[in-house]
Amino acid sequence: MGGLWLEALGLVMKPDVALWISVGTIIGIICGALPGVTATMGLTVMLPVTYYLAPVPSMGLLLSIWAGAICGASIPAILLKIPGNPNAIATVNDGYPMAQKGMAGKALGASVAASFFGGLFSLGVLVLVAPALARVALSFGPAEYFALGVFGMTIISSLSGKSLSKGLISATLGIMISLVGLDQISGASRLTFDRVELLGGIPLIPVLIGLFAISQVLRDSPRARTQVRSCSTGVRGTLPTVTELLGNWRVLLLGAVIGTIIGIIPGTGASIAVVLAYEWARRTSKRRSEYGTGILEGVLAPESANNAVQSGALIPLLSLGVPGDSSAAVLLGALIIQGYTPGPRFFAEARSFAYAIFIVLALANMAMLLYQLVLIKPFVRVLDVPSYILSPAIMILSLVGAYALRNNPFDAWVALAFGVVGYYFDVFGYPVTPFVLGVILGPLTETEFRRAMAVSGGSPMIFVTRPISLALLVVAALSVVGNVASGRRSLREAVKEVA
Amino acid sequence: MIKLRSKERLWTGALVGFALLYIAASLRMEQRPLPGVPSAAAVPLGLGVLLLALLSCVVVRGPRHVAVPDSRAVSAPPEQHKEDAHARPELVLALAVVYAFVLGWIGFPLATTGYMLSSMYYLKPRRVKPTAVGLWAVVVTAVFWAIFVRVLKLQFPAARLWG
Repeated sequence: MGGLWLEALGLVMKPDVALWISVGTIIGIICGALPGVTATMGLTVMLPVTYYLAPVPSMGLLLSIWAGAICGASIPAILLKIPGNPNAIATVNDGYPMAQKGMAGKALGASVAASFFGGLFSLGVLVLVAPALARVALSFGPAEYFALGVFGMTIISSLSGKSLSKGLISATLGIMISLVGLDQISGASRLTFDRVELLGGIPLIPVLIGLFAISQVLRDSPRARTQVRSCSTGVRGTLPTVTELLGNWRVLLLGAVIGTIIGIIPGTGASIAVVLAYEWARRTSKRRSEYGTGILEGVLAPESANNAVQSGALIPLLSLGVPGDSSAAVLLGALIIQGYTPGPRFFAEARSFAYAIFIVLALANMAMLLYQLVLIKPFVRVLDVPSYILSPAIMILSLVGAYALRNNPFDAWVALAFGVVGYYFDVFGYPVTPFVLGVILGPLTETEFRRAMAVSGGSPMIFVTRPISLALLVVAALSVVGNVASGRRSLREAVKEVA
Repeated sequence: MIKLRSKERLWTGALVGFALLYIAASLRMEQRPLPGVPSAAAVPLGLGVLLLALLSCVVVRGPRHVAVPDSRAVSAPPEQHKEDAHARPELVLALAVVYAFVLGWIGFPLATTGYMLSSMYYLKPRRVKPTAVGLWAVVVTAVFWAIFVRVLKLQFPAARLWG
């Protein structure tokens, strides 16, 4: 085991890895600080850069963008009362009042320190759990992989927002798109309409670029002319002391535990984790009446939770190949570009690389702490970048990024087309993440289903006679029933409130 | 809202059209039967039918637009300069389509400068002067050119118009 860590350390301790972690952290914090620019969008726009990088630097770039964006969202939340993205919705409650009291520096410092703690805590859990889970999953055959795919798709029921039917339509469309190209079992060409470009299937990365980056540019364009942000508060006040942070260890730990658990559960996400962490911290605090007035605890709990989600989400991604949220889906795309397939065999086939990812994640969290503390004032200036410059620049990055994948203009058109799809999905209330999940899990589920049927000689009983497959299918069914029931309960409560 | 509903009907109609096209293509797919294995067309055909069934659910229940909470919902910035009309996403998309089309004809530097100029001019608030837009367009294009062409050595399509 020690040798493995040393081997991984050898892969990481290179100047280019440090450089890309630094670049990624700065880009991530900037993305997080810009309201409306999410971690997923930052990851998607920078994904094409990884074509030119070796596996470890590319992971350094993307993981540090992800960590930086989650933490950077607290900057506008604290200074402007505008969360950079949904991960910072709970930070507003106490962060902004702290800034109003002249303690913006303390609130920002606390948010960074808590994010760092949460990130490292969940990384520890990732290191312990992911390889063990992957070892269990190594015994999987086609039936188990099919059941795993089905389980992954049940996430759709929790990602569907307020309309399950629209979530299902979105996922079905994703699977349909993913089946275009050569059939992996028989070699027959499917749904290619005699187009050579479609023989290899619809490329995943341009689809992601379109859905997450181009559609966001289109969505933001109506407000581009009226978007004026100005930060009058400024970064004032001292940083929190180590004693203050250690004195709140209970809140930090609570946030980290909640964030990690929520991260592991596919389909939940950081916005749920931060709200839960804030509420739990408030309910169990002696100072619960002071929450919302600008106390340190109210910033520490959600900020510890949101960065803990990142490593938590990597557990199902790396060990089972199931991306729990959209950022994890982009990371999956990046790993595929580098020639790695996350899943049960990942830890067996690319052990040193997997451990290098753990080290890179630790370094990304350290870089986030360092850069956020040292460069906080320049980062605040990012809030002044006008949308009329930012939106066209993101469009160029997206189109050129899609093109750069294979130097093929067809990919830029694919990105544009899926940008339009993503835009109309949003306009008509169709969730995008089930679509992405369908694109990613569709081929795996279909191929393994047909392989399992071939193994069993056409008998579907293979899926219920193998214990792991049966267990996964039962959990999948329970997950759907639970999510539908909880959705109906929420709807009833909402109707009652309105009445 | 009425406009949105009629647009949603159009969108649902487009999805129904896609499902029908998909089913038709699945039925025409070449069959290479293997023992015990469902054919290559089976799953696509099933998905096409499933999509039609799900869409019929949406159609029967009627278009109900539900605002899904996202980053923009929580990050809606304060609005100023009310005299600036909202920009239209369709035009922003049209500019991007033109850019993707002309890139192969006039080359990266010219196409990108043109796109940046036109997009920024269209999206800028009234108070921003056109000279500032021109300056920014050139600066952003130069930065992108340096990154993509000089650093990443990306090969763009040769500008056909200039040979």
